[in-house]
Amino acid sequence: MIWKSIVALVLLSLLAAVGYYGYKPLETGKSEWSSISDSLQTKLPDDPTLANKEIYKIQLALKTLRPKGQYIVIDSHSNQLTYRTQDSIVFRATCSTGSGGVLVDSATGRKWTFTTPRGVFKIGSKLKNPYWRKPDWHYVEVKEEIPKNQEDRMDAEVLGDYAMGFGDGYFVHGTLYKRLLGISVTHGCVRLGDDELKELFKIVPIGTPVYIY
Amino acid sequence: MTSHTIRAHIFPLFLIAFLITGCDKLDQIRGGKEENSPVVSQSTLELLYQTANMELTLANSGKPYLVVDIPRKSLEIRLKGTILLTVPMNLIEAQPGDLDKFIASFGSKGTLLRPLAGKYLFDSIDQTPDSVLAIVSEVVNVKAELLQREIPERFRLFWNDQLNLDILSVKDTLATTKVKPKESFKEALQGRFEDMKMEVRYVMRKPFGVRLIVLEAKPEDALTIYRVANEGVPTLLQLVSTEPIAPPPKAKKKK
Repeated sequence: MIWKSIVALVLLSLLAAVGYYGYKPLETGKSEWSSISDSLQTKLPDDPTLANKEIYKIQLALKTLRPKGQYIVIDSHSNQLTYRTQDSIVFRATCSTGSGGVLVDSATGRKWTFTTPRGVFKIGSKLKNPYWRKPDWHYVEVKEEIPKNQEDRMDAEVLGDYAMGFGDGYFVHGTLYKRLLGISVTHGCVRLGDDELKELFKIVPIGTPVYIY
Repeated sequence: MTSHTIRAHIFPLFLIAFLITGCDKLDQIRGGKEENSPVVSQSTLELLYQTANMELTLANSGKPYLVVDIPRKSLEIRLKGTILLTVPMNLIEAQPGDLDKFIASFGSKGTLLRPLAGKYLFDSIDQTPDSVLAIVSEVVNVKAELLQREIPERFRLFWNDQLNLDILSVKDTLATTKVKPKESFKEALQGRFEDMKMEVRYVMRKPFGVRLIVLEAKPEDALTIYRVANEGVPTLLQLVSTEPIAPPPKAKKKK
């Protein structure tokens, strides 16, 4: 009976050890933020009025960075678009963002990477019944000759009923491929379903900040 | 002792004291009440100052960062000081006081800012049906296998050996009653075995003394956190709100 207990104890100890040492050895402090964190611990003036002034100055700088009203957030990881404030979500929809795929034109060597840009942008235009001017990569992708006439590039169907531009030729627009919403399949634009696009178009004014990550 | 050593020893004590006394004092310095209210301690102002200072540096970096936001009771992803994602702190595996211990442990090196040391995926499910991926792969000219991504079901974020946060992906919130669909005996047995395997692995990875809290999140939020939370991502422990306090009174001009 005693030896059984001893064996059990040894086994338990081994399990605990494996559990503990099973961790990947961690090396913290690699990040640039470790040293910055230390350097940021600056001394606040002892005088409460001066201290208050210092805090106010920094908090105001932070407030200036933040959008004043509502803003759009595009999450390219889970393909979600939200229209929100700091405290609440006004609108949420499943979208599709850039696939990350790469296309190379074997004839010319030109290369395109289909990612949705990340960072902070602004809604710069709002279009009803938008036309898509097919870029060169479209013809390379579908293995068709690039038309010489600009009018031949125009497509009235693909973008849906509305489009909202957020700079550099990127738009939030509709899609014919609704089954693919929620998956990263686009060439960089952000696709929404018909109803969601209509709703967003109605509530979002030009100048709205767009955060993409 | 160097000033850094002193700070490293004194700061955790202050942090614990702050947690005990709560945030009441901070209300006094909001809305211009500071003139009539009792004097706010220097240490409280110091915390407010440090939090805002660190957040400003993170915001100016132009990269996303994590915030354990105690006033809002949430885990957040922020970019340029703006909240992009809010995951409520729905703690599901925590003893009373565990969060306080986690917070105190987070600040034990005299800092409110820590880089994420890494993440560990316990379990995941496939995200997209193969039939859909077959279509997608044709459209985007990428192999279907490369497109398949996993939704994490349970994963761990860790800042060091002792400081861990597990995130459990759940479709229903805590308030919703969870009704399990009918399952065959074989499925049930297999399910229990899988659960047991996961729990054993989980228990083995939680040695004594480790600060661990578990929160649940919607699958899409869990996925986003998992993908954003890469090694080195800065994490700010925010104990106080960084909304601007009342502007300091202007100095009167001498006539």
